[in-house]
Amino acid sequence: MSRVITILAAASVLAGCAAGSVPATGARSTTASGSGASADGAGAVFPGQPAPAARATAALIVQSRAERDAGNLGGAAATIERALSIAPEDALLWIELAEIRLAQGDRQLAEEVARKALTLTNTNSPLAARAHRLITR
Amino acid sequence: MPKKKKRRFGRYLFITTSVTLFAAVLYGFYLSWRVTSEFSARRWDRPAQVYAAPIELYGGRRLSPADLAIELARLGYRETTGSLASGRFRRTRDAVEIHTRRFETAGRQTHEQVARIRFSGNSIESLVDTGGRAIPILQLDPLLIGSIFPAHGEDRIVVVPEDVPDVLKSALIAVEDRRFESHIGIDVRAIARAAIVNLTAGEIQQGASTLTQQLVRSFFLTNERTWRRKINEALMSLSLEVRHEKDELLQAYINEIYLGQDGTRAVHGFGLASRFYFGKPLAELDVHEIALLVAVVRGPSFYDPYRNTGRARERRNRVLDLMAAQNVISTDTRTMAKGRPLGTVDRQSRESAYYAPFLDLVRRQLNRDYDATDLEASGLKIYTTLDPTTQALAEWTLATEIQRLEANRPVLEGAVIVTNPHNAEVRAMVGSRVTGFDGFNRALNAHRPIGSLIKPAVYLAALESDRHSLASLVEDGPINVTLANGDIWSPANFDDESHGTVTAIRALAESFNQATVRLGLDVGLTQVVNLLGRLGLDNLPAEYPSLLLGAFEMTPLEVTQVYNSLANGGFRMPLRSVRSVVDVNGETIKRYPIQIEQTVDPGDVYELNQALVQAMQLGTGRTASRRLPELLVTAGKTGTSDGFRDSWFAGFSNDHLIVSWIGNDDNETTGLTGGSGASQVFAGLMARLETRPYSAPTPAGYRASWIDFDTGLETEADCPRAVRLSLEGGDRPPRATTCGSDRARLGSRIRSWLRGALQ
Repeated sequence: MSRVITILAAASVLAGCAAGSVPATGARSTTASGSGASADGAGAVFPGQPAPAARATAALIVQSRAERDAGNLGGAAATIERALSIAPEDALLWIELAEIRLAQGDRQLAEEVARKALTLTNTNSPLAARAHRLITR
Repeated sequence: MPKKKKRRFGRYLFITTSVTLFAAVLYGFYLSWRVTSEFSARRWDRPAQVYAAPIELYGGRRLSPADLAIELARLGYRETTGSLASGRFRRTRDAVEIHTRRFETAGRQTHEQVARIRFSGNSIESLVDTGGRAIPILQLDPLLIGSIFPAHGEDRIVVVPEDVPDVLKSALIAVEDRRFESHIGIDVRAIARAAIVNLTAGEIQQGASTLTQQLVRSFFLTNERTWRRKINEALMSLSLEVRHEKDELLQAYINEIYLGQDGTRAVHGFGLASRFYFGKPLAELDVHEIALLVAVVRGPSFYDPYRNTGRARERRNRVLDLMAAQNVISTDTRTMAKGRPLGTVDRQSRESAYYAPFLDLVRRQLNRDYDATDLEASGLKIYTTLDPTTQALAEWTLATEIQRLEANRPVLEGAVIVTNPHNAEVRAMVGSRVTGFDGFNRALNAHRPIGSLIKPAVYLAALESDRHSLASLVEDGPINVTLANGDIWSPANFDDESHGTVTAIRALAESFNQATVRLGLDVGLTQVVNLLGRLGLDNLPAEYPSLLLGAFEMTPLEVTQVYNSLANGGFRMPLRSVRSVVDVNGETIKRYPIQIEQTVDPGDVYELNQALVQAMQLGTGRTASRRLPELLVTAGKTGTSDGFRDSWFAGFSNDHLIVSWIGNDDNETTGLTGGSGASQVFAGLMARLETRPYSAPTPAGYRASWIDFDTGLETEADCPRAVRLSLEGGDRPPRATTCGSDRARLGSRIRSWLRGALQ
């Protein structure tokens, strides 16, 4: 399990590096300049997970997984929420959160959180599939 | 006198003396018992300490070295060019080195460490530790923003002996009680000396109270000046000394003593005083700062560093002299310390009053789970969502904009709330234009008609009905609605004109009343009210047609809750001001995690938000938009109540939702619309925040095309009134043959030509 997440985290970092020009995910990132958002705004498409905060979020995912493995589900969720406050469009984080809620037995909340993840992914992505599994459970 | 009588008198004397003595001994025992039981079992009421959200530093974060230095200064970190120690930082050409503080959040201990933060331009490039290892993310100790103290006003932070600088202990002894280490609780020699000095001077220049007596006075007694109290004080001091070590007494003194006043709040203990006057922990105080606190002990009001600065400085220097004379510090240190300014933090930025509106919200959230005693006495630590930088900007912007708007108007008031729409955390709350004043909190408590702020709910209900899209046409013409009581309601537009057949997107962006009422009645009042509930409004308005134009009251906080659901793409999340509560043992006893529920179809909200983006570009928000950087796309809506009494604005970027209100407390007209008043606060604040343009991923089944703003027909990108809109597959309008507005103009020209020809 933890190997899987290490790989995921690494992939997330790589994705971040590869997508250097996409809008930054930093909590207070740019005042418009250099952002990839189109001028009409609402029409812009978000590719799964962008950029530079990726290293930070990846580290927090690893930490959250360790807390989950140690049975500290409340702490694991709080760690993911910490990551979400710097990268709220990261669908992977919402899915992690949904899985923790499910592990805590809160099926309803898990489903709602997964729905949120779904609005942030491309329809056919593997992340969307993970979200769908959480919803139709 | 006969022998018999003499003997009887002797007996009386004996009995009286015995009884008196016995009573005195009993009284002594009683005092001793009281002192011992109360003092040994002493547990100060520990008001809950409230912390802001911690600063997170990570590679990729947009933050300039200068802004980081400001954030660090706010936390009481000191810039140095010399060596680093906990609570200090140092700037080099392209990096900032911070020696962080040890702290505890949510039951987790974070150790102090030295981190080197490298910048590239105005962003953090990387963080490394002293061994050169990468630090993926670094959290700093959170800012203490206040405490929840009881009604009698006693606030304190209890410190442990390790946190007390030795210089402070020596200074207290040198200045207040030179023979503390040797006396028995009262200092007879000092009393004699003081008596002589005071007699010769003809006024009271010296007191002779030992630290123990001062402690007893503060701990057990009232402040009356009677002989009885003096005797009690002496007796109690003696019994304390018998039963307790000097160290223990001094430590108790440091936590107990009164050191200042802040409105109704009494500052007790050096731990809190250090935060209160200097904005940093006691352990980090310099000699001149310690000397000031010791100076204040003698008369927190008389030597108030804010009100009686000159006097406080004189007394501080006197304390420094005494410290040097007693070899607590060297004469060199004394000279240097005397040259330093008082070093107190700006009165404006002092925590308690400053963050009062937000603390109201914190208390409101906690009151559901905790009673007053839990909060006021049991030493809880409350970790909140407040972002001090956003808070400071919001306060400054509201005050500045109101001042500007007020130039030829009656006195205005205002409120601002800022959230992070994705997790519904409240980042800032301003309840009045005057900060540092714990008064009426308009952000929470001003119930005001919301005017056109309601309109997005009407259009969203229309989109939900599946009978309308943003490209649908609505008639903006005179309308008469028969009310339940038989009256006829005929709403007019703001400019008193009707605009004919218009697109829904234009009607919302330009806030046309007649089109909105027509659309709302078509969709149904029940549907609109039901939707408001799903968006997070608890106190639903009655189903009168006038609700479609916002003729009902909401508080800024309620507006924020509703708009947060829009900014969050149709997900309702209860707004949060507290993340977690930690008890006195460091255990997390309560978390307030993200609660989320999809209550509106995200596709419909996505579509609606495109109209709110156009409101900023072509509609009532366009003057505000001009103050924003060109690429900073925002979505927003103005609101104006009848008679210009209330000026509202609610709008969001990707990272910030801002709701602002301007009006008068006595409900007089302001002469402001949402667009000329509150939207200026929105724009002024948004322009200064580090924020990203509003953007949302296109939902499945939606396709983007260029739509003519006036006709709703699909058109070309280079047509003058073309806007980019993503509509649900089936809602795609027919194609125009020419640019829509040209066509419309051509059509109306033909029509008027025909009319002219036919007449």
